[in-house]
Amino acid sequence: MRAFSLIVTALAMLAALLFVLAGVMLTWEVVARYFFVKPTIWAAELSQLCLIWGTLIAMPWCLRERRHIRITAVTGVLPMAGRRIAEIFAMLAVALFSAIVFWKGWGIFWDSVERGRTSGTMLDLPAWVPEAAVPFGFAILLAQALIEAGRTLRGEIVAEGAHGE
Amino acid sequence: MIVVLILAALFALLLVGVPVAFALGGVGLGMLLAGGFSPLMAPQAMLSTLDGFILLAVPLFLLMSNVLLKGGVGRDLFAAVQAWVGHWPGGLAVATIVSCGIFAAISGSSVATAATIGTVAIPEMLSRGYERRFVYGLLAAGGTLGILIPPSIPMIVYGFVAEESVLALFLAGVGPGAALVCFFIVFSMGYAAWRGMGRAEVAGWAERRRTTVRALPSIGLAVLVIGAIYSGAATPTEAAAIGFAAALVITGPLLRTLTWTGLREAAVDAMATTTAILLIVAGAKIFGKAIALYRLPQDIAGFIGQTIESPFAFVLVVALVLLVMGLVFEALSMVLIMTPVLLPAAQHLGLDPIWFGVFMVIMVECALITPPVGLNLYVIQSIARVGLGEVARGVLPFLAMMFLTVAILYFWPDLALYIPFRL
Amino acid sequence: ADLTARITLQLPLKSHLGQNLELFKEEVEKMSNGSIAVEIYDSAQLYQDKEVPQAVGSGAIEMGVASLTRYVGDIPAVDVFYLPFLLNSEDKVRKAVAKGSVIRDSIDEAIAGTGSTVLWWQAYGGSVFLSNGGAIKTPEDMKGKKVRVFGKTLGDFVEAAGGAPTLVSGSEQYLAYQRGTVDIGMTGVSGVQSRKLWEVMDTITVTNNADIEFIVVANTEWWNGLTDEQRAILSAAAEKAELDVRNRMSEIEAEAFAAAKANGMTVYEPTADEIAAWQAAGQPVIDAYLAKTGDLGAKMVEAAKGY
Ligand code: NA
Ligand code: NA
Repeated sequence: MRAFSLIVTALAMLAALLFVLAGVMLTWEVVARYFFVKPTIWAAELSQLCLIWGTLIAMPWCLRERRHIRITAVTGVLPMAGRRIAEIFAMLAVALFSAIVFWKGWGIFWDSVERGRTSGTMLDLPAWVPEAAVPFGFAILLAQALIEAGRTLRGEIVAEGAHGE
Repeated sequence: MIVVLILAALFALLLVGVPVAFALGGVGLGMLLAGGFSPLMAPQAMLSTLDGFILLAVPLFLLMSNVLLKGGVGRDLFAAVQAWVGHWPGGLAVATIVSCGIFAAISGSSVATAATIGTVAIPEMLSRGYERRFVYGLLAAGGTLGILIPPSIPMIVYGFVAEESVLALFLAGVGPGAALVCFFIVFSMGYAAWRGMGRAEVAGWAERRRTTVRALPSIGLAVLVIGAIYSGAATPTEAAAIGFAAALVITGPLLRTLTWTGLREAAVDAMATTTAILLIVAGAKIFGKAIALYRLPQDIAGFIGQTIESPFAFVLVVALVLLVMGLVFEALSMVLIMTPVLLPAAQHLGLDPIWFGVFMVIMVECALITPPVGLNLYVIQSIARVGLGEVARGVLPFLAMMFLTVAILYFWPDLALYIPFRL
Repeated sequence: ADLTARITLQLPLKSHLGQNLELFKEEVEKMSNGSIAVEIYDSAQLYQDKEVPQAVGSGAIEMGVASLTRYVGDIPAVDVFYLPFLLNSEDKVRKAVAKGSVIRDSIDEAIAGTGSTVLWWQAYGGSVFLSNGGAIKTPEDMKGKKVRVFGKTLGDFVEAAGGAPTLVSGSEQYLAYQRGTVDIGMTGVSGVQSRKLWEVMDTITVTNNADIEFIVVANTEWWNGLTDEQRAILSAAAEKAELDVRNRMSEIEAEAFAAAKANGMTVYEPTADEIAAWQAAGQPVIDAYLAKTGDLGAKMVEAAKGY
């Protein structure tokens, strides 16, 4: 359990790094195009990969840290028992959604692997490179959602999440 | 009937506390399964959302404004503007609005704008004897400039959904944004004079020079980002990347206010917000596909087409619907859910899609400052440690000025469209 | 209806591809006496162009319209239509896309391997260059310039000709030209009219350096599960739609050129010598294509050269 928690944190930090990396690559792209009239063929595509992988591997951490945007207007005024039941229900709903997306996402990924499909873009990377992020991210999210449901059931206090935008 | 069922399911999930992204995605997925459509559409929608180059601007703009926030740029900006206009009637209020406007030109988010300027401006204004309610309203409303003045995350999302040029949307936000700044300033000066609220002392020239020099890099950054977009040197996404790089240079070697811890926090915060936002976009995309397959947008557009004939009536009705929705809906979900439903009808009535995008963004600004669900209200509430009610009442006059801007925009569309298309 | 065929389309219904789908829909519903319903999901409500091969191939939706080049990840040889100045006249294109021709049949067969069945081809017209202050007559005029492209093979060609290829999406085109993000435009000529590109560019060079084709595909498993009668109706309607759009395309292009001229654009037709210069510059792209696509590519290039 501890190891899993560490992995989730590490993935989120990696995601933060990937977004920073995307910024660096695109800055280079503008410099290369504007000052050297030599646009790169890789910056746009690799930074896009950073976004896909980054977002999907950060999901479990955001769930654990309650960083997903949610509406607390009703749950906030419920008595403690009601709040716990609502929380368990919410986490199981996330788990169910994750399970289906994982299952269907795996199919898309595996189909591309078997067919040897490529992106057909400038870099022509294998199509499964971005597609693998969906089953990977949602498998971990599924586990995290079940863990959160368990934590709530055992009565470990779960803090209300911060609002993002 | 089916519409009622869908909305009931969505509301139930949202109110139980299922994160917005998974509530939208979950209802969408449920509809696909119930209607006999392929559930493959769910992972496909995930991938295609994250594979959009334009949405890559979201983490980059967030990184830029987080770095600036950690680097204390809000304080420098406010100090400089205050040194110039603080002694006017309502001078501190004017300084607050101008600071919000400048920060809005760097940041794509209303919450970031309200938080950055609010942190410094609220204590300052209160200590000078400004009315509490006025101060809270001003900051909550001033913060919403963040999404009207480019860059703007809701505009990026609208452009993505409507397949319209984000660049054109950005440029179209400039005019109405400037108009709102003017209204806010005029109102604040008048109100402060009427209520006899305090002024700051006239700042000396040395003070002005010192604060301006410190704020100059941030103002330069705003000029760089907008200039890069406007001149065509960079796409909005690339401009966000350059802005991030420049923000690092300014707060790092130049001002020496950014620490390694600050940088790490900025990156982690940008990661969390990006994930939260983009998952909502993806969830809304699944939901959007499902309602399209149930042919609801077509039915609604057809219904509107039969019952509403004038664009004026349409805009009025839509404004009311968005206002009511905005009471309880989170801003981005509104854009995502309503754009595919309303845009076909709007275009059918001859409304320009870019104009319609700007109109939606102003209505979203209203949603951000109306209770019970309004992110900017929460921000001010948590900075000032006051009740929601007090902040919400202070917002009323500013809400009225937003409606005024919408009215002007309707009768004079060039307020938005002149800069992108006729300049 | 006993059967519903859903079609996803990236473009709006009012585009000529959308109108062509409407024609197909009317035809099918008339011939089947309403027992087959056709539902069109336009404006990328369901899928963007680039997602269509996967969406239809996997059976997530019954039918879809995709730009042919979207299959390049599965079948690199489809970009024969994007090889520089290979199929650069309407006459050659008609020969290439005719049923029974080497190119058409090879591509339809290869696409069958992706889980999709090609029902018909939709013509979209030839590619032109857009510029300001003079035509792009030879590769010399492209040297050091930023050029909008919409695919890898076109990008390779621009690079071979000395330009800097930049991917710009259709909806960002207008402002990319207006703001000078790119110096030279590349687009189908009907796009010039629909996006009013004459407001930002003053010259069209009629290169036909590439030919843009769309294909309407159906999920193979779904298709094979239909009754013979249903398949016969859909095929007949498809054939009618294909013929109609191919014939209409020349009118649409002529109209677009006339509108461009009426709005102050200069339309320049390159001379035979200039085309030869482009062809020489583009040869490395054809060589690379042949190296990548093996027998299939060689067979198609061979056929194209014979037209
Ligand atoms: Na902004
Ligand atoms: Na609200």
